[in-house]
Amino acid sequence: MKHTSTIALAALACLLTTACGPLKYSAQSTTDPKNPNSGVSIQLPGTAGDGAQHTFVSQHPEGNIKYVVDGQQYIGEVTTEEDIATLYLKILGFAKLGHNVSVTARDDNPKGTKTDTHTFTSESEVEVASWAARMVRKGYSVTIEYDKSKHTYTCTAYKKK
Amino acid sequence: MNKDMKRLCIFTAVLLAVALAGVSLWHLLTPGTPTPSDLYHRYEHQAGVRVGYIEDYRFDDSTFVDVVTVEALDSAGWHWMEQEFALHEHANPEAPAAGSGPESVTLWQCDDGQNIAFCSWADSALCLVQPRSEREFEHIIIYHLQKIRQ
Repeated sequence: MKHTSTIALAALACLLTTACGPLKYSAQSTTDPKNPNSGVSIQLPGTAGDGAQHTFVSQHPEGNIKYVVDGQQYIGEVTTEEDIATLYLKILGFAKLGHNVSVTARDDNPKGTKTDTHTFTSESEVEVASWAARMVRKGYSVTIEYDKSKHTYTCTAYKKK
Repeated sequence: MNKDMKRLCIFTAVLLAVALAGVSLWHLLTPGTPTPSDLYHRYEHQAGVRVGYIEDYRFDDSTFVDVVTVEALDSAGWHWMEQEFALHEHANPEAPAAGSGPESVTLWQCDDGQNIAFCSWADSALCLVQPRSEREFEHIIIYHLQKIRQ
């Protein structure tokens, strides 16, 4: 059922893509550089303020749908079948507005790849640096955050299993 | 005796030449780790980003390392950085809201096994360094810790 609905929606999207004529609008597509976790925001010219801004969370490359709007590739995060349906409906909305859209890939793991995560908290910069260096050498990506109220560094190391 | 010396010299010279040729050939055929300078030249003309190269950047009194910085100037530049450096691979997937504030830095080892990338999400900027030892590596991390603490 899951695959059937996905394939059907993908086919519909591709059909609309093919059916799309020349661009009627030029979409301004932006990912907020100040916040990579904010996802992809697509603002259609002339529709500002009328709620026509579409935002897709695009943090995880895994378990997601990749799609292209006017030549720009995006990744839509999906974790449930409803997410998939909602995302495809939005993509179809772009197609209806005359944008050139296509779905380029569908990951078969909608819940995403599991990650191996470790955390470490310390006030000591030397300890944090030593821990982070060791984890990076083991192939982890390490994010270090500083808590100003507690004066501690919290490190999270993660890598895909 | 002189004849023997001459032969020995010729033999040594030939041996050295063969060794030199072998090493040169090995360097030509084996793609080495890109140096910061290589990385700078690779990205310097990329649109939408500002690329910098600082030779012997002083991280502290005893740590001087070449640095390449890559900073997004617009959303297209940031999108290119996301693709080029696979930034989504390194953003913490377990904490979507975390790791994006000014008080954070993310670091990882590049695919070449030598260069280390430090990403400041808040500044849309990357810093690429190639520490020569673990001690240097830790000192560079401490430098970044002090930056996010400020």
